[in-house]
Amino acid sequence: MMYNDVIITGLGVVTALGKGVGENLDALVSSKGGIAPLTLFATNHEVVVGEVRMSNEQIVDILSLTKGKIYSRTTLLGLLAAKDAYDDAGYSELNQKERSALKIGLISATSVGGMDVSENFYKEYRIDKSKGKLRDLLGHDCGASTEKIAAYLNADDFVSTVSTACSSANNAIMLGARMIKLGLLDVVVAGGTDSLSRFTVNGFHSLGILDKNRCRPFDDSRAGLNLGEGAGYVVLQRSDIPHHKAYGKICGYANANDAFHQTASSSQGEGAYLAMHGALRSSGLNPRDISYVNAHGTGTPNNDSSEGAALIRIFGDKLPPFSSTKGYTGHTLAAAGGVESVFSLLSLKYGYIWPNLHFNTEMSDVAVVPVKDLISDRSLNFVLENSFGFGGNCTTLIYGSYNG
Amino acid sequence: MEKKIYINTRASVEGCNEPDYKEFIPDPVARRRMSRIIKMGVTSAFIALNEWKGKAVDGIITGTGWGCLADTEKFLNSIYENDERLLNPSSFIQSTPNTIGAQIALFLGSKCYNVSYVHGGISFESALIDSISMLQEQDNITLLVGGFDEMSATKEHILDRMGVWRKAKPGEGAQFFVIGNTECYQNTAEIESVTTFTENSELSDTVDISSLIDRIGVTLDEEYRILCGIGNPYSSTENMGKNIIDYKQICGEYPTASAFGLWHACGILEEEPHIGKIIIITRHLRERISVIVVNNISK
Repeated sequence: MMYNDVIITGLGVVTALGKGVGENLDALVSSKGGIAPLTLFATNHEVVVGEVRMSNEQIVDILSLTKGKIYSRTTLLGLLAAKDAYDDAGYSELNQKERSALKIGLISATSVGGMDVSENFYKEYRIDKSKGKLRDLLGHDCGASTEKIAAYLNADDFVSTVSTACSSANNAIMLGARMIKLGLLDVVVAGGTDSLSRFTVNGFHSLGILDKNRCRPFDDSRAGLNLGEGAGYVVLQRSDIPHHKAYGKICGYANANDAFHQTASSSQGEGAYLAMHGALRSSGLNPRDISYVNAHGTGTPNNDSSEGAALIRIFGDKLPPFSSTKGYTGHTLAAAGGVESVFSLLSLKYGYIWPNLHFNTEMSDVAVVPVKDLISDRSLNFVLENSFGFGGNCTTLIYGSYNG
Repeated sequence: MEKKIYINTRASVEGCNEPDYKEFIPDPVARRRMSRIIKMGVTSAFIALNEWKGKAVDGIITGTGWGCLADTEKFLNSIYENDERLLNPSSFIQSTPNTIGAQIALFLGSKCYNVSYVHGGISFESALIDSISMLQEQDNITLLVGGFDEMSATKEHILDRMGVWRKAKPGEGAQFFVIGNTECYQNTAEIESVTTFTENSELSDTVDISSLIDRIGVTLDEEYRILCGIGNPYSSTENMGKNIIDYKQICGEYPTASAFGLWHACGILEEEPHIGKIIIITRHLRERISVIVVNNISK
């Protein structure tokens, strides 16, 4: 069977670093993180987060959406980033005939869905069952944000939503790549979106894994993660469809399960190891071919030790430069794989390796040291990107440079 | 599709007919921690796996429209009740839609491919499409694929306020299947195709079943049945009408009802071997329409 090659021709991202590839790239290059105290809603918890510095009303204006309609913040962030990616790849400009000649899908990922709006409903409903605006619930389901984005882009020949906690967007990108490879679709917008919500802030707080200070992935003093919000999408397409630019190609992917604990990772990083190992095998590459690893690196003691152990198992003493960009954006949950895929593809395209912010001291239990300062003008061939989630879900993607 | 997709085993746990969970989840602590939908889902998966005599599965792929509703509401309620203080993380942990796929992996110690889809009325179809793709990509593998949803008192009440129960009755359930790309003695059915349609305004009032079947390119030259689970009125040819069964009369309305439809279709093919083909047409509320085509492999 002949498989199609899959390349990436568009990027879109919105995070605490800003809206669009330009603002994110500027902040990444100047090592300027976006973590600050929470302002979106009131909470009893003292937390710092990676908030997108735009109100819902501002986003509605930017996207020229119908005023007065209810959009969850997850939908709005997703629309911003997916539209940027679609515009970047030039698919917004297709005329009807060109559009109908292609099968274009949207595969998104989210964990909170429209929870921010559902919270408004539930606050009233729990006191009086006849209260609460029903239209506040129309965007609750995870699939609702995906449908709105697909309709807005006219990219709805196939639409689906993945929800595997913090590994979600990587799984969405992987399914998109597989469907193109098999010839089921020609173009897929794939990635993820998640907004901050009272539900997730309280959830992660109840687990005791939020750091009150800025997170310090892979540092010995790390004390937890910072939540973030945002969205990141890539446009995947068959390489033989005309395109005016390409950021890279998808070389490998794999999904594995840690099968250790519902929320904690095994100390040897079995799931992470299997995901990286599987992705390398599917790409036909050797560990020494990898030029940079964009790690999951949340800043929790458990994740970073476990991922560090898995990195050593894969790479031995030839560990390539690696870093977590969560110190910039916070942990954007289901969007993380989308955001970090965009960052990884920017690395490939422009030759940067992003610094791991706030790292000082090597971890006492696992001897791995991330990149501390920005590296530029490096010729990168392959970037490996990790996203791991609750439920033991681990997914690794490998992107390669492409000059077609 | 180049390779055939065989349904090896199947299981169904329905809200109105729950088994004794002790038999499947003997550990009382584990059982107590699980919400009802987790018990339903995990048990359904175990039944399908117990009946499967082949090697361990190579993937666990699930779909749910509503996810773990009861745990989500429990945690949300505790945020307000306790004014954000001293919250128990259990219901937060179990509120994520991938909980059931993850619990199955944990119980089995299964480190293989594991994904959960949450896309309303085509969540189970998404899981099937992922599974079918994987069965085209790799030889000689088997996958555990399932769909599940629970009806909570709150969900039922909210959908009542939305007017959903004027035309439909509430339902819930968890169906799992072991499917593969190698024929074995346990097979009675194969999946011919799974299609999800783009939302289409012309379909929103009356669904024309004949045109849907034409669009997916299925020919009806043998004895067939149509399992229809669309709330909307539909039109069909007179000849076709006598072959239509409204399967949501049995399982009720919920996003992954099509998983029940597939389970039911396999049962019909076992009991009535003269039937060659079953077409399952589903629409949850006003969402995308899906069509699953199943064939009797002895035909």
